[in-house]
Parts: sequence; structure tokens; C-alpha cells
Amino acid sequence: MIINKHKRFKIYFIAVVVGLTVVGGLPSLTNAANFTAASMRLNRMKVSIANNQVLVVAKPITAGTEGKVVVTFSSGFGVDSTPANITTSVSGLPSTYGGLALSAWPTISAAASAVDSKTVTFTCGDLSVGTAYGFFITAGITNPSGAGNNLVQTIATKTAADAAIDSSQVAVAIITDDEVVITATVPPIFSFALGANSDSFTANLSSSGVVSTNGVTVTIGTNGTNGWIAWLKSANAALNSATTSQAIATQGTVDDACTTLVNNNDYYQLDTNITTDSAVGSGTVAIADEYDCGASAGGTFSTAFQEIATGSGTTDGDVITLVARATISAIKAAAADYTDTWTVIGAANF
Amino acid sequence: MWFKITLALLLVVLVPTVVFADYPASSKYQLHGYGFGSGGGGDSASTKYRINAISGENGSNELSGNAFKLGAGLNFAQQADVPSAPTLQNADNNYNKLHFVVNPHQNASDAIFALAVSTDDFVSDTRYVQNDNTIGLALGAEDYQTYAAWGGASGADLVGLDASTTYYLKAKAMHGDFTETGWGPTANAATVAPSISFDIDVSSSDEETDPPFTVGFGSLVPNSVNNSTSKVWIDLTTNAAGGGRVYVAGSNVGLASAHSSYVIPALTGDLSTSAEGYGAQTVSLAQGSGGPISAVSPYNGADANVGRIDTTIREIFSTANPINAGRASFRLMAKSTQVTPAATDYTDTLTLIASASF
Repeated sequence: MIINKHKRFKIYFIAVVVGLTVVGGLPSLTNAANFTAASMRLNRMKVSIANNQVLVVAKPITAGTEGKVVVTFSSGFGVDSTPANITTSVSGLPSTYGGLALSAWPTISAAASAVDSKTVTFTCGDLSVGTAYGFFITAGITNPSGAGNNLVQTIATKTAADAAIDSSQVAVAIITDDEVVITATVPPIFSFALGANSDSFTANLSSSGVVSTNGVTVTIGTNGTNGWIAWLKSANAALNSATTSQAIATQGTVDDACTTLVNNNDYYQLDTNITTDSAVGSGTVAIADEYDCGASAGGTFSTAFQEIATGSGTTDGDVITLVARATISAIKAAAADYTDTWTVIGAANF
Repeated sequence: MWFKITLALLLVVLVPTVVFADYPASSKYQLHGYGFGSGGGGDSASTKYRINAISGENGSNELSGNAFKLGAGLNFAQQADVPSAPTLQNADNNYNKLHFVVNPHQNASDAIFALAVSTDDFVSDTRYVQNDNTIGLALGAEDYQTYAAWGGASGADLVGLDASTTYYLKAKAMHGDFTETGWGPTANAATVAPSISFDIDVSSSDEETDPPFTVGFGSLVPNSVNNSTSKVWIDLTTNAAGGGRVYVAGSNVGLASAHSSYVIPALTGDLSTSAEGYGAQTVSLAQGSGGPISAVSPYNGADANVGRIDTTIREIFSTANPINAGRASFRLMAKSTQVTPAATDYTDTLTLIASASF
């Protein structure tokens, strides 16, 4: 009889438990499971950033037919009250996230389907247990105006009929400034070097042909974005002989045109050639028209600086060569001291 | 469902009928019942049931108080030792698990224990610890485990818990048939909220600084590897089970000059063998506990090896575990050439962010 009483109690207890279960009287029965992993990455953590890009990541643990993903932001976040303004994208998702291979959240709606205060609902397709999914919220969310750590957000999945499937709380932080400005100076560089400080004609001057000097190189390097310029001036605009007091004068005028040397006449001209137009750097070498002449022509020397060549940009070593060309009349007084002095200068344009 | 309830009722009603249909007997006597005065004692069993009985003692009375319970009858006398309250704690500030240690009390090593868990001290929420340390609604035979299986003195983690929630835990023991005890006293502990804290500092030494943050190279020496004068430091603390990560992105694809319309390009590689470039390299890694925090390739290089910083958000530091007081730093390195256009406005703006996997 005593045992029978116990049994009646058991029957009653079972009935009560079954009844509570049927009507959902045990709160624990409705609890959603935590995702295997869940995270929220704010692509800007600075206060008050509007339309922040928010990466939502979750790895389901519960088998269910997902139809919605619900993101609840903490109180400081600004959440646009218009669902259409809260947009999403799966473009540019990282391939991995925290060691998890990341898949695009299937058929995530292009915009929220509902907004209730800080809770935003998106529709989505079914998820597979064990796969990590992600999507970006691309607009509609504004960071809190105050910095703070441990701001708890909630990510949850539901069926289309709003039955809970998985849910996790995640934390994010907002900081005063998330940017670091890097600065650097690249100092101006300019180098200019003459290959020699003296030069001579390769043969005695002649009334029957053009004789040239060996040539003096000028090497220029610069990081000036606008390149470089070289100038030259002649001390005499002529080859002068102290012993004979005679001169072999330059001919023509500085007019952006070469002067062709004529035999049996006094000519003393400057020809400038490109020896190296460096491939390193942005610049291209150009010889001034006045001095860009051939083997039997040359530009007119001047006692004032005349632009002889330019570089249009940076270079690690453009090289030009300065060559004097001369002919003489048949009656030019003989002497071994015909001479002139050039002054060659350059500058870079930064 | 109603079929199951009906079946349960039938089984419950039928069992006593079956049990008392066959009392112990010998050629000299036959018991007619197990109640007081029936004489003798023993077990009755078939393939369907087993009954344990004693005669000469009324099994329905018991003494109890707030701190004890004294029952009567054979079952109570041969019960296992009621376990004391288990240990339940959250020493590591976890948001999804608590650590428990079963208290076996005086039970034998092959005694088995079941654990019940609740969020309201068993008022309306009673669930059970499953043999995988998760919480379930059903207490199956497989969920009775030995002290050793529950982790012994080291215990185990009760997992899959909700954040910021107090959990109550109690145990009962069993050591053979008819020995299962009632539930012992409860212990409780609370999970905490998920957490992450992050901070940025810029300094040549390990110190806290305030924004705005600027790192200057000064004048770059052409054809040489130049280090930034200051380092970028980060602080990271999180209780995320999956750890945390720090990312960096630039506003340009290198150090850009508006004046010269030129970019010293971001690159991954060895600046000493590259004509020109810009990147980041880890300098220091440390943590108070947990972690460890580590540098992610290619930011973990030595000498003049750097990792690219451009407009893509790239992971620079990570930890796979919760971490407290994580501290790491990196420097910027750059190299220019003779033809890198001169300008004083080379710049990039780094954005540093952190996240954690809960």
C-alpha cells in the first residue's frame, strides 16, 4: 500500500512534467544554444563613425532551418530606424576569420527586414552546422559617441517563424581614435658632375674641315619631380689666342637653331649630345634646340648662361656630352694657345 | 504524447501487480508481503523487475533537519554517500563556461555521480550535466559518471552556458542497485559578460599615450632602410574563448605624396634587397596571462623583412585564447631611392581595429 502511494505520486509528477513541457512551462526549454563561435568586427572602432562597416560572423551549432539573423546592438549605437537604410554585403569577406574558413551568409537580405530600436532583423537562407558564415552590415549603424570597452551585442538566428535556433553575446570596444598617421619626408637630392675640367680639340684646327673636342660629360641625378636644367656660358664666345691676339669667334645668334660650320671660315660652336637618358626615374632628357646639332653644326656660344639641356623628371644619372666644333679661315694666325672657358651649371626643379 | 503518458501510467500501475505476484518462498515458508511483520528479507527479481526488501522495519519514516536527513529501511541503509556540494567557480572570468569539481565525499572510486544544474536554484529550471559536460534536459544512464570521469580532483568545465548568468549545481551518487542518493547541497557561480578592451599607443618606449597618434620617419635616407622613430603599441584583453585579433589597414597603398603624386609602395619582403618600399614589422609581444599573443605572418619578420600595409584590412596580431593584458608593438620601415620624388608630405593613415571570437 505504501508503494502504491509512491506510484501515484510518480504518476502525478510525470503528468505535471509532461504538462509543463507541452505548454513550455520550463523556461530552459526555449533557450537558444550558443553559436560554436560568434564575433562582430567593427571596421572602424573610433567614436561616432557613421555608417560603420560591421562584419558579423557566426558558426551555427544547432540544426535548424534558419530564416532570419537578428543583430541587437548595445545602447550607445545608432541604428537607423528605416530597415531599407541598413544594408548588407558579402563582397570582400575575408576568406578566413580567426582561423575559421568563412563562407558568405547565404541569401542574406540586401537590407534589413525589420528594425526595433537597437534590434535589426535580416532574412537569410538556411545555415549548415559547423560552417562559419559572415556578412557585412554596410550602412545604417553609427558608433557610440563615447569610448567604452566590453559593449555587449547579440547575434541570433531564428527560423522564418521566429523560433530561436542559436544565439550568442559578443563584445566590441569603442575607442577615442583608431587611427595612426604616418609621416615621412623624402629630402631633395641633386647631383651634378663634370667629367673633366679641360678639353681639347682632337686635332689642329683646319680650314678644310670641322674639328671637334673630345667632349666633356655632365652627369645629373635628382629626385626633383620637375627634373633638372643645365646651363652653359662661355668666357669669350670665342677661342682667343693671347700670343696672336686673334680670335675664332662663335657664329650666329642664340635663336633655337643650329649653325652649320662652313670650311675656310671661323666657326666656334657648341654641340650637346645625350649620352645616357637613364631608365631609372621619371625624367626624359632633352637638348635645347640651339645646341642639338650634328657633327658639322653647333649652337652659338654666349657669355650669358644659356640653357643647353633639361630633364623632365627624376633621374639617377642622365649624362650629356658637351662638344665644341670649330673651323678656321686659311689665314688664321697660327698659335697653340687658342682657348675659351666654359662655366657649366645645373639645378633641379622640385 | 498522450499515448506515451498512457503507456507510462499503465507501466506504473502494472509494476506493483507483477512485483507482488511472486514473494520469496522455500519449502518451509512463503512470504506474503514485504511489510512490517511479514518476516524474513530478500530480493525478488525477474527479467522485468527487481525488488529490494527488508522486514521488521517500517520504511516510511525518516528524520530530517536542515543539515541532515536520516531515513529508514534497507534502501536508505545501503544508499551511497550523499555527495557534498561540488565546487563551482569562474576563476577565469568566462562568459560561457564554469569550472566544477565533484566532491565524492566517502563514496568508493567506482561510485557514479549525476549532476543537476539550474539557473534559478532548481525552482523551475532543472537540467542535467551531460557526459560531454554540456547541459541537457534529460538525465540518461550515460550521464552517471565516476568521479574520475568527471575530471577527478581537477574537475571539468561546464560548457555551453549563457553569459552573465548564475548557475547552481548539485550532485547525487549511486553505487550499485538501490543505492542512488538524493541530491546533495548546491554550489553556485556566475558567468560574466563577454568582454574585450583595446587601446592604441604611439611611443618610442612602452608607455601609455593619448591620441592623436602620429608616427614620423623624418627624412628618409635614400637607399637605406629607415625605421620609424616611434612604435605603435596595442593593448588587448578579452575573455573570448576563440581569442582575439588585431588588424591594420592603411589609407593608401604605401606612403603617398600628394605633392609629388608618388607612392613609396607597400610591400611584403626584405627592404634591404628592395629598391624601395614600406611596411610594418613586429617589435614586441607580451601578455599578463592567457594568450599568448603572436605576430601574424608576414609581420613577424626579422631584420628588414616587413609586411605589407595597404587598404586591405590585414591581421597583424592574434591570440587563439582568452588573454589578459596583451601588449604588442610594431614599427614602420621605409626605404626610398635616389629618384623617389622629394616631398615633405609622404603619409599614410593606419587604422587599427580589434575583434574577438566568442
